[in-house]
Amino acid sequence: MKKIIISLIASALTLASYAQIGQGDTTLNSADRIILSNSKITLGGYAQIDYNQALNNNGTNKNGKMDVHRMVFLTGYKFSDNVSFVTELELEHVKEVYVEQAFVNWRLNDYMNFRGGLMLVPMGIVNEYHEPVTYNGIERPNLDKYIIPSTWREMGAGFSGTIAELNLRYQAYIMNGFSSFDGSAKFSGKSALRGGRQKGAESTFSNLNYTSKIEYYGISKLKVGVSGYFGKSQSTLYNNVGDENFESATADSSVVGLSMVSLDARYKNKGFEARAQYVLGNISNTTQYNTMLGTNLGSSIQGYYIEAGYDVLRLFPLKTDKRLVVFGRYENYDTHNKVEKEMTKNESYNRTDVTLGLTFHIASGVALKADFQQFKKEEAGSSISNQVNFGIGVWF
Amino acid sequence: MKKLIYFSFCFILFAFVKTDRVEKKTDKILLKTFKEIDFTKQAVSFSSKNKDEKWYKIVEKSTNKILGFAETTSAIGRFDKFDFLVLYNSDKTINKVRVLIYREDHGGEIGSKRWLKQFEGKSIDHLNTLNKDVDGISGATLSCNAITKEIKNSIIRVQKIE
Repeated sequence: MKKIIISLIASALTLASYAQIGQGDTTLNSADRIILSNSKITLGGYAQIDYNQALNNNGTNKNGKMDVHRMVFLTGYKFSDNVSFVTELELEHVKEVYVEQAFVNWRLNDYMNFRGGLMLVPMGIVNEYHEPVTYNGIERPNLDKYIIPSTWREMGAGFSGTIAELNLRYQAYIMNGFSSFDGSAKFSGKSALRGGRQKGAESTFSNLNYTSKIEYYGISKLKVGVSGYFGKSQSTLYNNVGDENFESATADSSVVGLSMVSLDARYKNKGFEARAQYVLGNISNTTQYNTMLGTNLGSSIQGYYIEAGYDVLRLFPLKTDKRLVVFGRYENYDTHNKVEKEMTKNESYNRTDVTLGLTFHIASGVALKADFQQFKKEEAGSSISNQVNFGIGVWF
Repeated sequence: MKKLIYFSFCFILFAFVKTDRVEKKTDKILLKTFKEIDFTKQAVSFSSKNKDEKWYKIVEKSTNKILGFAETTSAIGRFDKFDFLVLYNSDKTINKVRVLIYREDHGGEIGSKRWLKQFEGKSIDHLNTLNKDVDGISGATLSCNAITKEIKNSIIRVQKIE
Protein backbone atom coordinates (compact mmCIF):
# COMPACT_ATOMS: atom_id res chain seq x y z
CA MET A 1 0.00 0.00 0.00
CA LYS A 2 2.72 2.39 1.06
CA LYS A 3 4.51 1.83 -2.23
CA ILE A 4 1.49 2.89 -4.22
CA ILE A 5 1.10 6.04 -2.18
CA ILE A 6 4.76 6.94 -2.40
CA SER A 7 4.81 6.46 -6.15
CA LEU A 8 1.66 8.55 -6.54
CA ILE A 9 3.18 11.35 -4.49
CA ALA A 10 6.40 11.08 -6.51
CA SER A 11 4.53 11.32 -9.78
CA ALA A 12 2.52 14.29 -8.49
CA LEU A 13 5.77 16.07 -7.66
CA THR A 14 7.22 15.22 -11.06
CA LEU A 15 4.13 16.66 -12.70
CA ALA A 16 4.50 19.78 -10.60
CA SER A 17 8.07 20.26 -11.72
CA TYR A 18 6.94 20.05 -15.33
CA ALA A 19 4.46 22.79 -14.70
CA GLN A 20 6.77 25.35 -16.22
CA ILE A 21 6.88 23.57 -19.56
CA GLY A 22 3.24 23.99 -20.50
CA GLN A 23 2.61 27.65 -21.15
CA GLY A 24 0.12 29.28 -23.44
CA ASP A 25 -3.38 30.27 -22.69
CA THR A 26 -5.35 28.03 -20.40
CA THR A 27 -8.42 30.12 -19.71
CA LEU A 28 -11.83 29.08 -20.87
CA ASN A 29 -12.68 29.43 -24.44
CA SER A 30 -15.43 31.89 -23.93
CA ALA A 31 -15.74 32.64 -27.62
CA ASP A 32 -16.96 29.12 -28.19
CA ARG A 33 -19.36 29.51 -25.33
CA ILE A 34 -20.66 32.74 -26.82
CA ILE A 35 -21.47 31.02 -30.06
CA LEU A 36 -23.33 28.41 -28.11
CA SER A 37 -25.08 31.10 -26.19
CA ASN A 38 -26.12 32.91 -29.32
CA SER A 39 -27.77 29.65 -30.24
CA LYS A 40 -29.51 29.92 -26.88
CA ILE A 41 -28.13 26.76 -25.33
CA THR A 42 -25.26 26.70 -22.84
CA LEU A 43 -23.61 23.44 -21.94
CA GLY A 44 -21.24 22.73 -19.11
CA GLY A 45 -20.41 20.24 -16.44
CA TYR A 46 -18.22 19.18 -13.60
CA ALA A 47 -16.86 15.96 -12.22
CA GLN A 48 -15.20 14.71 -9.06
CA ILE A 49 -13.22 11.49 -9.31
CA ASP A 50 -11.78 10.07 -6.10
CA TYR A 51 -9.44 7.51 -4.71
CA ASN A 52 -9.83 7.24 -0.93
CA GLN A 53 -7.43 5.09 1.02
CA ALA A 54 -7.93 4.62 4.74
CA LEU A 55 -4.55 3.97 6.33
CA ASN A 56 -3.60 0.82 8.16
CA ASN A 57 -4.77 1.09 11.75
CA ASN A 58 -3.83 -1.32 14.56
CA GLY A 59 -2.68 -3.90 12.05
CA THR A 60 -5.99 -4.10 10.17
CA ASN A 61 -5.84 -3.73 6.44
CA LYS A 62 -8.24 -1.30 4.80
CA ASN A 63 -9.33 -1.52 1.19
CA GLY A 64 -9.23 1.62 -0.85
CA LYS A 65 -12.19 3.05 -2.71
CA MET A 66 -12.17 4.34 -6.26
CA ASP A 67 -15.19 6.30 -7.19
CA VAL A 68 -16.53 8.55 -9.89
CA HIS A 69 -18.09 10.40 -7.01
CA ARG A 70 -20.16 12.79 -9.04
CA MET A 71 -20.50 13.82 -12.62
CA VAL A 72 -22.83 16.67 -13.38
CA PHE A 73 -24.13 18.00 -16.66
CA LEU A 74 -25.18 21.62 -16.80
CA THR A 75 -27.61 22.82 -19.39
CA GLY A 76 -28.93 26.31 -19.73
CA TYR A 77 -31.49 27.52 -22.21
CA LYS A 78 -32.15 31.13 -22.88
CA PHE A 79 -35.69 31.98 -23.95
CA SER A 80 -35.15 35.70 -24.17
CA ASP A 81 -32.66 38.29 -23.06
CA ASN A 82 -33.94 38.02 -19.51
CA VAL A 83 -35.48 34.60 -19.13
CA SER A 84 -33.45 31.44 -18.85
CA PHE A 85 -33.79 27.92 -17.55
CA VAL A 86 -30.89 26.32 -15.70
CA THR A 87 -30.45 22.65 -14.92
CA GLU A 88 -27.83 20.43 -13.35
CA LEU A 89 -28.27 16.73 -13.85
CA GLU A 90 -26.12 14.65 -11.58
CA LEU A 91 -24.83 11.11 -11.65
CA GLU A 92 -23.61 10.21 -8.19
CA HIS A 93 -21.37 7.17 -7.67
CA VAL A 94 -22.03 6.35 -11.33
CA LYS A 95 -25.44 4.79 -10.69
CA GLU A 96 -27.59 7.29 -8.81
CA VAL A 97 -29.31 9.94 -10.87
CA TYR A 98 -30.38 13.27 -9.36
CA VAL A 99 -31.58 16.60 -10.56
CA GLU A 100 -29.42 18.96 -8.58
CA GLN A 101 -30.88 22.22 -9.84
CA ALA A 102 -33.73 23.05 -12.17
CA PHE A 103 -35.02 26.58 -12.05
CA VAL A 104 -36.22 29.43 -14.18
CA ASN A 105 -34.33 32.67 -13.77
CA TRP A 106 -36.16 35.81 -14.78
CA ARG A 107 -34.00 38.90 -14.75
CA LEU A 108 -36.34 41.70 -13.77
CA ASN A 109 -33.80 44.53 -13.81
CA ASP A 110 -30.17 45.21 -12.92
CA TYR A 111 -30.89 44.56 -9.27
CA MET A 112 -33.29 41.70 -9.16
CA ASN A 113 -33.96 38.24 -10.51
CA PHE A 114 -36.95 36.07 -9.84
CA ARG A 115 -36.15 32.39 -9.47
CA GLY A 116 -38.38 29.39 -9.13
CA GLY A 117 -37.91 25.63 -9.17
CA LEU A 118 -35.41 23.29 -7.57
CA MET A 119 -32.69 25.48 -6.10
CA LEU A 120 -29.68 25.32 -3.82
CA VAL A 121 -30.14 26.53 -0.27
CA PRO A 122 -27.67 29.43 0.02
CA MET A 123 -26.06 28.24 3.25
CA GLY A 124 -22.29 28.45 3.72
CA ILE A 125 -19.74 28.33 0.92
CA VAL A 126 -19.58 24.83 -0.52
CA ASN A 127 -23.29 24.11 -0.81
CA GLU A 128 -23.59 26.77 -3.46
CA TYR A 129 -20.07 26.81 -4.88
CA HIS A 130 -19.59 23.07 -5.04
CA GLU A 131 -17.66 22.62 -8.29
CA PRO A 132 -14.60 20.55 -7.33
CA VAL A 133 -12.02 22.98 -8.71
CA THR A 134 -13.36 25.79 -6.50
CA TYR A 135 -12.42 24.15 -3.20
CA ASN A 136 -9.34 22.44 -1.81
CA GLY A 137 -9.33 18.79 -0.82
CA ILE A 138 -10.71 15.80 -2.64
CA GLU A 139 -13.80 15.56 -0.47
CA ARG A 140 -15.93 18.53 0.51
CA PRO A 141 -15.42 19.66 4.11
CA ASN A 142 -17.32 17.36 6.47
CA LEU A 143 -18.89 20.41 8.06
CA ASP A 144 -20.61 20.84 4.72
CA LYS A 145 -21.87 17.28 4.96
CA TYR A 146 -23.03 16.79 8.54
CA ILE A 147 -24.08 20.28 9.62
CA ILE A 148 -24.94 21.78 6.24
CA PRO A 149 -26.14 18.74 4.30
CA SER A 150 -24.55 19.54 0.92
CA THR A 151 -25.75 19.39 -1.74
CA TRP A 152 -28.81 20.84 0.00
CA ARG A 153 -31.48 21.80 -2.48
CA GLU A 154 -35.20 22.28 -2.23
CA MET A 155 -38.16 23.38 -4.26
CA GLY A 156 -39.10 27.02 -3.92
CA ALA A 157 -39.20 30.51 -5.32
CA GLY A 158 -37.78 33.89 -4.50
CA PHE A 159 -35.50 36.73 -5.42
CA SER A 160 -31.82 37.16 -5.90
CA GLY A 161 -29.65 39.89 -7.25
CA THR A 162 -26.61 42.08 -7.02
CA ILE A 163 -26.65 45.68 -5.85
CA ALA A 164 -23.41 46.78 -7.48
CA GLU A 165 -23.40 50.22 -5.84
CA LEU A 166 -23.40 48.66 -2.38
CA ASN A 167 -21.20 45.67 -3.29
CA LEU A 168 -23.95 43.35 -2.09
CA ARG A 169 -25.37 40.16 -3.40
CA TYR A 170 -28.56 38.85 -1.89
CA GLN A 171 -30.84 35.85 -2.11
CA ALA A 172 -34.19 35.33 -0.41
CA TYR A 173 -36.38 32.33 -1.03
CA ILE A 174 -39.37 30.57 0.36
CA MET A 175 -38.84 26.85 0.15
CA ASN A 176 -40.09 23.46 1.00
CA GLY A 177 -37.96 22.06 3.83
CA PHE A 178 -36.59 18.79 5.12
CA SER A 179 -38.85 15.83 5.56
CA SER A 180 -38.70 14.62 9.16
CA PHE A 181 -41.15 11.76 8.80
CA ASP A 182 -42.46 9.79 5.85
CA GLY A 183 -43.31 6.53 7.59
CA SER A 184 -39.99 6.43 9.41
CA ALA A 185 -37.69 8.95 11.08
CA LYS A 186 -35.53 10.89 8.60
CA PHE A 187 -33.25 12.66 11.10
CA SER A 188 -30.63 11.06 13.30
CA GLY A 189 -28.16 12.06 15.96
CA LYS A 190 -25.11 11.22 13.88
CA SER A 191 -25.90 12.88 10.58
CA ALA A 192 -28.53 15.30 11.91
CA LEU A 193 -30.69 16.61 9.07
CA ARG A 194 -28.90 15.01 6.14
CA GLY A 195 -31.35 12.11 5.77
CA GLY A 196 -34.27 14.51 5.51
CA ARG A 197 -33.33 16.15 2.24
CA GLN A 198 -36.17 15.74 -0.20
CA LYS A 199 -34.22 16.77 -3.32
CA GLY A 200 -37.34 17.70 -5.19
CA ALA A 201 -38.42 14.08 -5.63
CA GLU A 202 -42.20 14.04 -5.00
CA SER A 203 -41.40 16.01 -1.89
CA THR A 204 -43.91 16.33 0.92
CA PHE A 205 -44.95 19.89 1.65
CA SER A 206 -46.66 20.84 4.89
CA ASN A 207 -44.72 23.87 6.21
CA LEU A 208 -43.14 26.88 4.52
CA ASN A 209 -39.45 27.50 5.13
CA TYR A 210 -37.46 30.69 4.58
CA THR A 211 -33.87 31.11 3.61
CA SER A 212 -31.73 34.08 2.80
CA LYS A 213 -28.12 34.97 2.24
CA ILE A 214 -26.36 38.29 1.99
CA GLU A 215 -22.82 38.54 0.69
CA TYR A 216 -20.66 41.62 0.87
CA TYR A 217 -17.67 42.04 -1.43
CA GLY A 218 -16.86 45.71 -0.86
CA ILE A 219 -13.57 45.04 0.90
CA SER A 220 -10.87 44.31 -1.61
CA LYS A 221 -9.98 40.61 -1.99
CA LEU A 222 -12.45 39.61 0.73
CA LYS A 223 -15.94 38.25 0.51
CA VAL A 224 -18.11 37.68 3.54
CA GLY A 225 -21.51 36.07 3.78
CA VAL A 226 -24.31 35.66 6.29
CA SER A 227 -26.95 32.99 5.72
CA GLY A 228 -30.09 32.06 7.56
CA TYR A 229 -32.62 29.28 7.31
CA PHE A 230 -35.82 29.15 9.32
CA GLY A 231 -38.80 26.88 9.32
CA LYS A 232 -40.33 23.57 10.25
CA SER A 233 -39.75 20.16 8.79
CA GLN A 234 -42.35 18.36 6.71
CA SER A 235 -44.29 15.29 7.74
CA THR A 236 -46.58 12.97 5.83
CA LEU A 237 -48.76 12.66 8.97
CA TYR A 238 -50.41 16.01 8.24
CA ASN A 239 -52.25 14.51 5.33
CA ASN A 240 -56.00 14.09 5.96
CA VAL A 241 -56.02 15.17 9.61
CA GLY A 242 -58.41 17.57 11.28
CA ASP A 243 -57.08 20.57 13.18
CA GLU A 244 -57.93 19.68 16.76
CA ASN A 245 -57.64 15.96 17.21
CA PHE A 246 -55.28 13.28 18.38
CA GLU A 247 -53.75 12.66 14.94
CA SER A 248 -52.79 16.27 14.64
CA ALA A 249 -50.92 16.10 17.96
CA THR A 250 -49.07 13.04 16.70
CA ALA A 251 -48.25 14.88 13.50
CA ASP A 252 -46.91 17.79 15.55
CA SER A 253 -44.53 15.39 17.31
CA SER A 254 -43.16 14.20 14.00
CA VAL A 255 -41.85 17.61 12.97
CA VAL A 256 -39.07 19.77 14.36
CA GLY A 257 -38.43 23.49 14.08
CA LEU A 258 -35.16 24.54 12.59
CA SER A 259 -33.26 27.80 12.68
CA MET A 260 -29.80 27.81 11.23
CA VAL A 261 -27.33 30.60 10.70
CA SER A 262 -23.98 30.58 9.02
CA LEU A 263 -21.14 33.06 8.65
CA ASP A 264 -18.48 32.65 6.02
CA ALA A 265 -15.50 34.51 4.66
CA ARG A 266 -13.22 34.00 1.70
CA TYR A 267 -10.00 35.85 1.10
CA LYS A 268 -7.78 35.80 -1.95
CA ASN A 269 -4.66 37.84 -2.42
CA LYS A 270 -2.15 36.95 -5.13
CA GLY A 271 -1.08 33.40 -4.28
CA PHE A 272 -2.64 33.33 -0.84
CA GLU A 273 -6.17 32.11 -0.19
CA ALA A 274 -8.10 31.49 2.98
CA ARG A 275 -11.62 30.69 3.99
CA ALA A 276 -13.56 30.21 7.17
CA GLN A 277 -17.08 29.17 8.00
CA TYR A 278 -19.18 28.89 11.13
CA VAL A 279 -22.60 27.23 11.31
CA LEU A 280 -25.07 26.95 14.16
CA GLY A 281 -28.40 25.17 13.93
CA ASN A 282 -31.01 25.06 16.66
CA ILE A 283 -33.61 22.34 16.48
CA SER A 284 -36.80 22.56 18.55
CA ASN A 285 -39.29 19.89 19.55
CA THR A 286 -36.57 17.22 19.62
CA THR A 287 -37.86 15.63 22.86
CA GLN A 288 -41.22 14.81 21.26
CA TYR A 289 -39.56 13.80 18.02
CA ASN A 290 -37.05 11.47 19.67
CA THR A 291 -39.63 9.97 22.00
CA MET A 292 -42.10 9.28 19.25
CA LEU A 293 -39.60 7.86 16.77
CA GLY A 294 -36.92 6.43 19.03
CA THR A 295 -34.11 8.53 17.59
CA ASN A 296 -31.40 10.66 19.21
CA LEU A 297 -31.49 13.94 17.31
CA GLY A 298 -29.59 16.72 19.05
CA SER A 299 -31.25 20.04 19.86
CA SER A 300 -28.30 22.03 18.57
CA ILE A 301 -25.73 21.33 15.87
CA GLN A 302 -22.64 23.41 15.35
CA GLY A 303 -19.36 23.50 13.50
CA TYR A 304 -16.63 25.60 11.96
CA TYR A 305 -13.60 25.32 9.77
CA ILE A 306 -10.65 27.45 8.87
CA GLU A 307 -8.51 26.86 5.82
CA ALA A 308 -5.46 28.53 4.32
CA GLY A 309 -3.48 27.82 1.20
CA TYR A 310 -0.70 29.24 -0.92
CA ASP A 311 0.17 28.83 -4.58
CA VAL A 312 3.80 27.74 -4.30
CA LEU A 313 4.46 28.20 -8.02
CA ARG A 314 4.45 31.93 -7.23
CA LEU A 315 7.75 31.45 -5.44
CA PHE A 316 9.44 30.69 -8.75
CA PRO A 317 9.80 33.04 -11.69
CA LEU A 318 7.67 30.88 -13.98
CA LYS A 319 5.61 32.18 -16.84
CA THR A 320 2.66 29.96 -16.17
CA ASP A 321 -1.02 30.16 -15.41
CA LYS A 322 -0.86 26.90 -13.50
CA ARG A 323 -1.24 26.95 -9.75
CA LEU A 324 -0.04 24.49 -7.14
CA VAL A 325 -1.84 25.25 -3.91
CA VAL A 326 -0.56 23.78 -0.66
CA PHE A 327 -3.31 23.98 1.92
CA GLY A 328 -4.38 22.99 5.40
CA ARG A 329 -7.85 22.86 6.92
CA TYR A 330 -8.97 22.41 10.50
CA GLU A 331 -12.61 21.63 11.16
CA ASN A 332 -14.73 20.78 14.13
CA TYR A 333 -18.37 19.79 13.94
CA ASP A 334 -20.77 18.38 16.48
CA THR A 335 -24.24 17.07 15.74
CA HIS A 336 -24.80 16.76 19.49
CA ASN A 337 -23.70 20.28 20.36
CA LYS A 338 -26.66 20.31 22.73
CA VAL A 339 -29.27 17.67 23.57
CA GLU A 340 -32.48 17.85 25.59
CA LYS A 341 -31.94 17.08 29.26
CA GLU A 342 -33.47 13.58 29.10
CA MET A 343 -30.65 12.55 26.80
CA THR A 344 -26.91 12.27 27.20
CA LYS A 345 -24.57 13.67 24.58
CA ASN A 346 -22.87 11.17 22.35
CA GLU A 347 -19.32 12.51 22.24
CA SER A 348 -18.47 10.44 19.17
CA TYR A 349 -20.60 12.96 17.23
CA ASN A 350 -18.16 15.70 18.18
CA ARG A 351 -15.59 15.34 15.43
CA THR A 352 -12.39 17.11 14.50
CA ASP A 353 -10.80 16.70 11.08
CA VAL A 354 -7.46 17.95 9.89
CA THR A 355 -6.73 17.96 6.17
CA LEU A 356 -3.38 18.76 4.57
CA GLY A 357 -2.93 18.59 0.85
CA LEU A 358 -2.15 19.86 -2.61
CA THR A 359 -4.40 21.21 -5.34
CA PHE A 360 -2.64 21.42 -8.66
CA HIS A 361 -4.60 23.52 -11.14
CA ILE A 362 -3.16 22.33 -14.44
CA ALA A 363 -5.56 24.46 -16.44
CA SER A 364 -8.30 26.76 -15.36
CA GLY A 365 -11.03 24.17 -14.86
CA VAL A 366 -8.93 21.09 -14.13
CA ALA A 367 -7.33 20.27 -10.79
CA LEU A 368 -5.32 17.27 -9.65
CA LYS A 369 -5.62 16.84 -5.92
CA ALA A 370 -3.89 14.89 -3.15
CA ASP A 371 -4.46 15.15 0.56
CA PHE A 372 -4.00 13.54 3.93
CA GLN A 373 -6.82 13.55 6.46
CA GLN A 374 -6.95 12.80 10.15
CA PHE A 375 -10.29 12.16 11.86
CA LYS A 376 -10.70 12.38 15.60
CA LYS A 377 -13.75 11.82 17.79
CA GLU A 378 -14.14 13.51 21.16
CA GLU A 379 -15.37 10.27 22.74
CA ALA A 380 -13.01 8.83 25.37
CA GLY A 381 -11.01 5.88 24.10
CA SER A 382 -11.84 6.30 20.42
CA SER A 383 -8.89 5.98 18.11
CA ILE A 384 -7.69 8.44 15.53
CA SER A 385 -8.10 7.34 11.92
CA ASN A 386 -6.09 8.51 8.98
CA GLN A 387 -6.80 8.56 5.29
CA VAL A 388 -5.12 9.67 2.09
CA ASN A 389 -7.07 10.76 -0.95
CA PHE A 390 -6.18 11.38 -4.56
CA GLY A 391 -8.59 12.93 -6.94
CA ILE A 392 -9.38 14.80 -10.09
CA GLY A 393 -11.69 17.76 -10.30
CA VAL A 394 -13.01 19.12 -13.59
CA TRP A 395 -15.26 22.06 -14.38
CA PHE A 396 -16.17 23.49 -17.75
CA MET B 1 -51.15 32.21 3.02
CA LYS B 2 -50.88 35.89 3.94
CA LYS B 3 -47.13 35.68 3.48
CA LEU B 4 -47.60 34.24 0.03
CA ILE B 5 -49.79 37.21 -0.90
CA TYR B 6 -47.21 39.74 0.38
CA PHE B 7 -44.59 37.89 -1.53
CA SER B 8 -46.54 37.99 -4.80
CA PHE B 9 -47.26 41.68 -4.28
CA CYS B 10 -43.57 42.57 -3.88
CA PHE B 11 -42.87 40.54 -6.93
CA ILE B 12 -45.35 42.39 -9.13
CA LEU B 13 -44.03 45.69 -7.81
CA PHE B 14 -40.47 44.97 -8.87
CA ALA B 15 -41.08 43.02 -12.02
CA PHE B 16 -41.68 46.05 -14.18
CA VAL B 17 -38.83 48.32 -13.18
CA LYS B 18 -36.70 48.55 -16.30
CA THR B 19 -33.05 49.51 -16.57
CA ASP B 20 -30.98 50.79 -19.48
CA ARG B 21 -29.52 49.09 -22.53
CA VAL B 22 -25.92 48.68 -23.69
CA GLU B 23 -25.51 51.73 -25.91
CA LYS B 24 -27.28 54.11 -23.57
CA LYS B 25 -25.08 52.98 -20.71
CA THR B 26 -21.94 53.29 -22.85
CA ASP B 27 -22.81 56.86 -23.80
CA LYS B 28 -23.36 57.72 -20.17
CA ILE B 29 -19.93 56.41 -19.19
CA LEU B 30 -18.25 58.23 -22.10
CA LEU B 31 -19.91 61.50 -21.13
CA LYS B 32 -18.66 61.07 -17.59
CA THR B 33 -15.12 60.20 -18.68
CA PHE B 34 -14.66 63.02 -21.21
CA LYS B 35 -16.88 65.49 -19.41
CA GLU B 36 -15.10 68.73 -20.37
CA ILE B 37 -14.63 67.79 -24.01
CA ASP B 38 -16.98 67.98 -26.96
CA PHE B 39 -16.53 64.60 -28.61
CA THR B 40 -18.21 62.22 -31.04
CA LYS B 41 -18.35 58.46 -31.01
CA GLN B 42 -17.59 56.96 -34.44
CA ALA B 43 -18.37 53.35 -35.17
CA VAL B 44 -15.44 51.32 -36.55
CA SER B 45 -16.33 48.39 -38.78
CA PHE B 46 -14.81 45.22 -37.46
CA SER B 47 -15.60 41.65 -38.43
CA SER B 48 -16.13 39.38 -35.48
CA LYS B 49 -17.68 36.02 -34.68
CA ASN B 50 -19.42 37.66 -31.76
CA LYS B 51 -22.29 39.82 -32.96
CA ASP B 52 -22.21 41.82 -29.74
CA GLU B 53 -18.70 43.09 -30.44
CA LYS B 54 -18.70 46.74 -31.49
CA TRP B 55 -15.81 49.17 -31.77
CA TYR B 56 -15.81 52.95 -31.60
CA LYS B 57 -13.33 55.75 -31.97
CA ILE B 58 -13.76 58.65 -29.61
CA VAL B 59 -12.82 61.84 -31.46
CA GLU B 60 -12.65 65.42 -30.25
CA LYS B 61 -14.97 67.45 -32.46
CA SER B 62 -12.96 70.66 -32.82
CA THR B 63 -9.51 69.19 -33.49
CA ASN B 64 -10.38 65.73 -34.86
CA LYS B 65 -7.89 64.36 -32.34
CA ILE B 66 -8.43 60.76 -31.19
CA LEU B 67 -9.19 60.66 -27.48
CA GLY B 68 -9.53 56.95 -27.21
CA PHE B 69 -11.17 53.73 -28.36
CA ALA B 70 -14.12 51.85 -26.98
CA GLU B 71 -15.32 48.32 -27.36
CA THR B 72 -18.61 46.93 -26.18
CA THR B 73 -18.81 43.18 -26.27
CA SER B 74 -20.09 40.19 -24.35
CA ALA B 75 -18.70 37.16 -22.57
CA ILE B 76 -20.27 34.17 -20.87
CA GLY B 77 -20.26 33.67 -17.13
CA ARG B 78 -21.72 30.40 -16.07
CA PHE B 79 -24.86 30.16 -18.13
CA ASP B 80 -25.54 33.53 -19.58
CA LYS B 81 -23.71 36.27 -21.37
CA PHE B 82 -22.95 39.67 -19.90
CA ASP B 83 -22.16 42.90 -21.72
CA PHE B 84 -19.23 45.09 -20.86
CA LEU B 85 -17.29 48.08 -22.09
CA VAL B 86 -13.53 48.38 -22.50
CA LEU B 87 -12.45 51.98 -22.89
CA TYR B 88 -8.93 52.75 -24.10
CA ASN B 89 -6.83 55.89 -23.95
CA SER B 90 -5.36 57.17 -27.22
CA ASP B 91 -2.15 55.18 -26.52
CA LYS B 92 -4.20 51.98 -26.32
CA THR B 93 -3.79 51.46 -22.62
CA ILE B 94 -7.01 50.62 -20.80
CA ASN B 95 -8.76 53.63 -19.33
CA LYS B 96 -11.52 51.64 -17.69
CA VAL B 97 -13.64 48.52 -17.89
CA ARG B 98 -17.31 48.57 -16.93
CA VAL B 99 -19.86 45.79 -16.84
CA LEU B 100 -22.98 47.14 -18.55
CA ILE B 101 -25.54 44.37 -18.24
CA TYR B 102 -25.09 41.31 -16.09
CA ARG B 103 -27.92 38.86 -16.60
CA GLU B 104 -27.39 35.74 -14.58
CA ASP B 105 -27.50 35.41 -10.89
CA HIS B 106 -24.04 34.02 -10.24
CA GLY B 107 -20.89 36.05 -10.64
CA GLY B 108 -22.39 39.55 -10.67
CA GLU B 109 -19.53 40.58 -8.37
CA ILE B 110 -17.33 41.25 -11.39
CA GLY B 111 -19.34 44.45 -11.87
CA SER B 112 -17.55 45.84 -8.82
CA LYS B 113 -15.62 48.98 -9.87
CA ARG B 114 -12.96 48.18 -7.33
CA TRP B 115 -12.33 44.83 -8.95
CA LEU B 116 -12.41 46.18 -12.50
CA LYS B 117 -9.81 48.79 -11.50
CA GLN B 118 -7.22 46.04 -11.84
CA PHE B 119 -7.45 46.33 -15.60
CA GLU B 120 -6.75 50.07 -15.70
CA GLY B 121 -3.47 50.97 -17.36
CA LYS B 122 -3.05 47.50 -18.85
CA SER B 123 -1.86 47.24 -22.44
CA ILE B 124 -0.33 44.79 -24.91
CA ASP B 125 2.78 44.71 -22.67
CA HIS B 126 0.81 42.94 -19.93
CA LEU B 127 -0.81 40.33 -22.14
CA ASN B 128 1.11 37.29 -20.90
CA THR B 129 0.77 37.94 -17.22
CA LEU B 130 -2.75 39.34 -17.16
CA ASN B 131 -4.33 36.16 -15.80
CA LYS B 132 -1.96 36.13 -12.87
CA ASP B 133 -2.09 39.87 -12.24
CA VAL B 134 -5.83 39.78 -11.86
CA ASP B 135 -7.09 38.46 -8.54
CA GLY B 136 -10.16 36.28 -8.90
CA ILE B 137 -13.32 36.70 -6.87
CA SER B 138 -14.47 33.74 -4.81
CA GLY B 139 -17.72 32.46 -6.19
CA ALA B 140 -17.38 34.31 -9.48
CA THR B 141 -14.57 32.27 -11.01
CA LEU B 142 -16.13 31.66 -14.40
CA SER B 143 -17.11 35.28 -14.89
CA CYS B 144 -13.68 36.52 -13.79
CA ASN B 145 -11.98 34.14 -16.21
CA ALA B 146 -14.34 35.02 -19.01
CA ILE B 147 -13.96 38.78 -18.75
CA THR B 148 -10.19 38.52 -18.37
CA LYS B 149 -9.97 36.35 -21.47
CA GLU B 150 -12.15 38.73 -23.48
CA ILE B 151 -10.13 41.72 -22.33
CA LYS B 152 -6.99 39.95 -23.54
CA ASN B 153 -8.63 39.50 -26.93
CA SER B 154 -9.71 43.09 -26.85
CA ILE B 155 -6.17 44.31 -26.18
CA ILE B 156 -4.97 42.34 -29.22
CA ARG B 157 -7.71 43.72 -31.43
CA VAL B 158 -7.39 47.32 -30.46
CA GLN B 159 -3.89 47.25 -31.95
CA LYS B 160 -5.43 46.84 -35.41
CA ILE B 161 -7.48 50.00 -35.19
CA GLU B 162 -5.88 53.03 -36.81
